[in-house]
Amino acid sequence: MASIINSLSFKNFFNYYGDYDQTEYEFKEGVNIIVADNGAGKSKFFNAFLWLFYDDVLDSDDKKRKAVKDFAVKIISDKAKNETEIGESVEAGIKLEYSTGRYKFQIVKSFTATRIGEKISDNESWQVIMNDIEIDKTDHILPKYKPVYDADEKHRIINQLILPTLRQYSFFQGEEVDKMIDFTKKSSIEDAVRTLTNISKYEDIAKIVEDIEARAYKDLNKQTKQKESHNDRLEDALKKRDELKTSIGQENEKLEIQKESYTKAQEEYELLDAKYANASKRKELDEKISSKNRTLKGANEDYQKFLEGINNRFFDGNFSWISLGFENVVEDFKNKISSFRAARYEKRTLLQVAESPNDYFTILPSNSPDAVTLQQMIEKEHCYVCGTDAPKGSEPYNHLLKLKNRPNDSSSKKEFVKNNLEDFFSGLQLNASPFLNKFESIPQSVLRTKEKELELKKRLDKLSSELKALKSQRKDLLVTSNQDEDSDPREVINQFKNAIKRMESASGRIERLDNNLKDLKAQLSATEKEITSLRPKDIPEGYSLNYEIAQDLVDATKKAKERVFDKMVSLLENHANEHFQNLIKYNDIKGGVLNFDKSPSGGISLDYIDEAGNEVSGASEGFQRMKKFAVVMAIISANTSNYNYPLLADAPLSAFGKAFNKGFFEAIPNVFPQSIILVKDLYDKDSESKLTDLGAKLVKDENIQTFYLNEVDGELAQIERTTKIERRK
Amino acid sequence: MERNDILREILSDPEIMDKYNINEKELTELTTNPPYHSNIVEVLSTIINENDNHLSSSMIYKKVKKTHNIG
Amino acid sequence: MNSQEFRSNLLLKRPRYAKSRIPVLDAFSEKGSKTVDYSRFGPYYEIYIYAMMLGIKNKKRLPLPPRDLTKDFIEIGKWKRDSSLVDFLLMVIFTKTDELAIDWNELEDLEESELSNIISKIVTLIEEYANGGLEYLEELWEKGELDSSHYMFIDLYKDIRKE
Repeated sequence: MASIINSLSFKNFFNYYGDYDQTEYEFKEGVNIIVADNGAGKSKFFNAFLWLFYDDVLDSDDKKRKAVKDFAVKIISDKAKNETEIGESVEAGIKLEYSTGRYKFQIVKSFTATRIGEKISDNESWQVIMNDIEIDKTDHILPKYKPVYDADEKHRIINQLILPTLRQYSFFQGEEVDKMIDFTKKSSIEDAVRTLTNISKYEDIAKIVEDIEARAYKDLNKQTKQKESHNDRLEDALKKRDELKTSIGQENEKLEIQKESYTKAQEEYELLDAKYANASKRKELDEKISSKNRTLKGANEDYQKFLEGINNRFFDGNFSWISLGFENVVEDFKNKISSFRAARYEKRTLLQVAESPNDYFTILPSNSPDAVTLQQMIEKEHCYVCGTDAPKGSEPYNHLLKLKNRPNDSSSKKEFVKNNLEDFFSGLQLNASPFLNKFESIPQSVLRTKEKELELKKRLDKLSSELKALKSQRKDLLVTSNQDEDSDPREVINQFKNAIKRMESASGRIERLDNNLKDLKAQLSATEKEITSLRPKDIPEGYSLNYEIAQDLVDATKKAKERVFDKMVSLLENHANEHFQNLIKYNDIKGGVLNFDKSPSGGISLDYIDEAGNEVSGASEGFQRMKKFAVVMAIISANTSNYNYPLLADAPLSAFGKAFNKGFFEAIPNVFPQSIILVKDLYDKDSESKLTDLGAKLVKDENIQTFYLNEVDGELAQIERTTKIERRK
Repeated sequence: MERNDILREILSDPEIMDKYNINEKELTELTTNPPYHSNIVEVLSTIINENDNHLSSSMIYKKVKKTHNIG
Repeated sequence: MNSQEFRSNLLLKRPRYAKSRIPVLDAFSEKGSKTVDYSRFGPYYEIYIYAMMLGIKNKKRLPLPPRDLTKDFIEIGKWKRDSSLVDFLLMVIFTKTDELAIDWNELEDLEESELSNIISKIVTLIEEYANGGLEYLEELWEKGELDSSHYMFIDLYKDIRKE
């Protein structure tokens, strides 16, 4: 028979201005979400329940709890205060309706304030009277509210809403959500175990039995002293026993100190674990980001240089784009230089003939052979010009030889032209060759240039998006750490390592002390045996039996207590793992289980270990919170197979990360029949729907039963600023 | 009942069972009400019961002594 | 004059451009404006050469305005100094025997002063073709018909087929 909150309304309560029906939330069984940015009524919502259960509210200025009647003036809505003239009264309160299987209850808690002074924000300006709690009850069959008058019943009805002993696990408040189960405190799981078991009874009995043991010992000794067969050896043994007991006491004290030390170091460790994870992850990401930045810069430079160099390909002999379209220049020039040479040759020959006609008896045709052709003719022994053979030794052959061996132009004493431009033109042809053989390949070259550009651009884009992804990862890390984002990662890492060192050294000392104690206890036991054998035989059996039984019970009770404790821890471990797997269902974290480990200080530490039994540390902060949620849910579910009370929680979704959110909203209903989750992370004032993407998704999610959006108009003056409730589902 | 559970849990220690001759079946049937299996059961039952009655440990001790017939 | 001297004389010449062409020269060279709307060449002579070749392809030769409205720039010999670019350009130019009204063989018989004349004619040809090419670019630029891609120049160049 679960208790389900049906509605919660406010009257002039903090930012909620107006009467109950103007500021009402209706809730259903299942998951209910209220989205509220900071200052838009989130912590005020919690205050309603604090008032309901404890007659307290949380002062958001100093984060301390204050009694409602002392804090009343600040509780009243500013706007309502402003509208109340001197002599007039204003009422502020909360109204809650909830149902069990059989009944429905309406609870109203309120006070009336009469204005007697000028300054509306001063306590002295108001006279506050707390009104009686009004509770009305009806059954579901014939709904008609009837008032409840009995004070005890009223009390019971209020407490029935959320079981008091489990209230701390069902009702998480505001910014303190991180400490909802504070694993840094050794006591937190112990407290949970205490809540869930009758271990306190075992502790009572252990105390009693110890006391009885001491008394029985005294009585036995008294009896012993009265007998005459009392002897020195017995005296010594008794003394030794006392000394041993004292030593044991002292060692126990030292042990406590070391355990304290260990606990403190462990607390720090737990605190730093998340930070360390964050810090080292941050450091890792920072390194990756700067490396990627460098590569990106290089790639960008390459790309830019490439772009700038494209037009160089016109003038670069390797590409010679400038020659495109000038293919005919090659042929043209070849022809021209050919005729140029021919004409020259003719000219010179004429001149030389004129000067020394005897050296020449043939005039070669205008297409006179060049040296190469001459050489060919000589080798082939054939004159191409005449078309006749010129075998070695023949006259034509000798002509050819003479022609070949004719003196060079340069050695001739007289230049046959004013300006000898042969070298000029042949030089041009020779030098320009890189530009003369690429015509065909230029289009291909252009294509390849475009391809290369695309390649470089693609690389650039890829690096750019990789960098963006890294930066976004880093940003997520920043969001999940709640303070000290700028704390030097190296400092955090040092503190973390320091804490581990202290834990290790304390643990070492604890071990040594334990060994000492074992020793001493063994000696004690031996001494006890000796004492027993030395005791006079004529003491009434009852005294010895008394003592012996007391001793045995001391040991047995201690062991029993430990067994009960361990059994419950094991049960919690099982439940926690079940919930944890559900919560991380959509995460990438593979395998691994939660492990409740007894620490040297006797406390419980919560570890996450992989299949090989190695501890997986350094996971994100969202992950750390999920561990805690899993344990909280385990405490609830281990207590009773059906938890019948609502969950009221402030969920820092951004700390969880996207993948967790899905798992979270699916897993919660498995433990809590009704949950009311307040979030600010879904609020986006710049979006049209005022919700983030996740928010919009959740509104449509079939697992979410109701969805509210709180908004405060920040543009209005403080006095006018009220919370507007908008129902989205 | 809780008292019986506590009684049985404490006495379920193997050394105790051995020393005081309590077997498995007897263990499951132990109660904090008479008749008692043995001395130790009576003593522990007294302690458990009177603790629930909010007796002080000195007063409980007196009762325990009575079970041993000593002063 | 021998080949060496002829070549040197030619390469020492500093061609001129119309001052009115400065905007278009600046727009398309890195030496010019800082803003990058279009693809660019490096120094002035690159866009100058490109314009000249464009002019030759288009058969667009445009005389320069009076001298005081013109400016000279770097000498031909320094155009991409350690490469054979200029040799190629000269090849293109010297094949235009009709336009230049020269005959290679006749060149060899000219007096020095006449040869200098020829050199001037060659420079003028260069200048006027460049001017024609620059005007062509300028028109396209002003009409906004230029493409702003990195491949603008090559695209423009290959579209014009030399007949």
